[in-house]
Amino acid sequence: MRRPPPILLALAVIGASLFVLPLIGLLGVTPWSDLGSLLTDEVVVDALRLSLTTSVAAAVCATMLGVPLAWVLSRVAFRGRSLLRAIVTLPMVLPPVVGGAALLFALGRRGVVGEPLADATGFVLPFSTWGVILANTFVAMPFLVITVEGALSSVDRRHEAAASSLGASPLTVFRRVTLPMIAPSLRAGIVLAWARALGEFGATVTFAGNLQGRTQTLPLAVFVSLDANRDAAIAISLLMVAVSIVVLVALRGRWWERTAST
Amino acid sequence: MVGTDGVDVSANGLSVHLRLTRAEFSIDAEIEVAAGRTAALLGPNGAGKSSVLGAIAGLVDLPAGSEVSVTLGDRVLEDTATGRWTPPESRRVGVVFQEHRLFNHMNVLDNVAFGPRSAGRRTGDARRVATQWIELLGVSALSGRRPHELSGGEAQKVAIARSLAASPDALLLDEPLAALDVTTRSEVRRVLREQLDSFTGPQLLVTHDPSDAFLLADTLFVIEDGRITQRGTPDDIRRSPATPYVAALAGTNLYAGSAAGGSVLLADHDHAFTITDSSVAGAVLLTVHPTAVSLHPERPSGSQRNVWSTTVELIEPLGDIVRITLGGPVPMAVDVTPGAVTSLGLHPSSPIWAAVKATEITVAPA
Repeated sequence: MRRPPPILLALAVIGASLFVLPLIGLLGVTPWSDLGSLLTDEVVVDALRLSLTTSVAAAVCATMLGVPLAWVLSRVAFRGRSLLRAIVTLPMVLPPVVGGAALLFALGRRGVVGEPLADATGFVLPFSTWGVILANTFVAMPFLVITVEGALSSVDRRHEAAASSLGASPLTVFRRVTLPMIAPSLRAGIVLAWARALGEFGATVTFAGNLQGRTQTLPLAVFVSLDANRDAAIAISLLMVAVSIVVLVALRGRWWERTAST
Repeated sequence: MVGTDGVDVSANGLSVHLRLTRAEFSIDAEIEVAAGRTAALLGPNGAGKSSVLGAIAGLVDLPAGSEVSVTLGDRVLEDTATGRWTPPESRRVGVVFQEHRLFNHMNVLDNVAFGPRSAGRRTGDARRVATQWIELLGVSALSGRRPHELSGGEAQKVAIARSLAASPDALLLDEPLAALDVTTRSEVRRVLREQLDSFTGPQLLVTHDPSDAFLLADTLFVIEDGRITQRGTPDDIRRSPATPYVAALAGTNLYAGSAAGGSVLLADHDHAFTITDSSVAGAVLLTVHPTAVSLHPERPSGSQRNVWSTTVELIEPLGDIVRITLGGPVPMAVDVTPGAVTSLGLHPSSPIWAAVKATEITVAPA
């Protein structure tokens, strides 16, 4: 193989260092001997527990709602389909803080939907764990929808036709033929959505606030600790890096295969 | 109800009328198949065969303005005149596709059990039904395999089993042998023949291959440019082709026989042909192209290995060529130029010598 052009190589090295340097920086300041006590601190344990439950709940919600949404976007022709698709993917480019604010205007105590909901049932979403799950689902679901919709559009429809001719109802075809065929993409979509929910900050803090044990997830705990307890912030950051690495390993099939094929 | 060619399709038969116009072509075709019978829809690629099949199975979106009526027994599956449309899963019309379309995420057993399960049977029950069909098709050893672990012929047999296990009222076969190599093809054709014989509903085979159509079907519908140009039994069509296309495909003389020591004794005629490959043995199919046969007023003295004396039965002009039908001992269609007819002085019942080189006879295992 010929030597790569030096200019490309140099820029690539600078690009890579952008990712490597923060990691080295984090590892360099880590108080390794205190790590155990820092990670078992009540604030950290609460945040970890909350982060895991809300991110998993958000991934489940995103899957339950996002797969049918992706199916409708892919298979049902209707007016305004492109517009709906754009709106669904909006949270991917929207600043999460704006998303959180929009959620507040719609579902807050005095929101368009939130106020009648609170008056009728007394149920208030903002500043509750449910609010965290909602905010997480809001930012995470688009990743699942676009991944699954892409898979649904490229799947071989002829197998679905064969299933129909064997007497399978549309729902049976979806459950027993379509879903298994898109399983790899569905898995990737769920992991992406879960990872996005785990790292969510802006929409959560705006919509659900920062209450320890109720709405303070790991990213919020890092932000708060940066001023108050720097070592705790470092420890939590390290924890999240570890979790991210686990996610990458879980996705390796998908991404490494892509690398190998090019 | 009696179809246009006198086939009684009221008793669980299939009746289809399709009229549609797309940008590139139009179709206007009427087909009836009686219960227990096999009809073949034979035509060149792009003649509209797949649209007919898709309309019967309810699997294609037909363009606006299409007129379709599909009746199976006493059930009207589709009728655009009344707006009636039965979804494919309720039609009870089985389809065997060219590309088997087995589900890759299921093993053979669960593929075949898919139909019974969709009909509401419990898993164990559905698998019992599937096992019976898998045995009938002779693929029991493959039960636990995934489709990607099967050869083309094995996959197609499993696909046939899967269609039949759903106990359809009618069976459609979309080029079921086209994706297979020659040897596998005759093996799968034999298995398919058995299943078609015992299937009690109407069967429609869609193919561009005349040998599949002639070997598997009782009735042929020839479709060209979206129109049925001829219908009849294989013998009718061979004897009096209505169009040059039919003449070309039906003219391919096809004989069943048994081979031994470089000679093939025909099953239905008192005649033997010499072939080039003396290692072939057992049941075979011979094809002789109509242009490969030469006609002579006297016994020819050339290198041809197959020479016999016969009589002219029919002389039909077909455009640029003339189709000569020879009588016993081997009925055969021969294409000659109009000039040859004159120079040989051919008339119906004139005695003539026919000759064909051994190299011009195609042999395939039956």
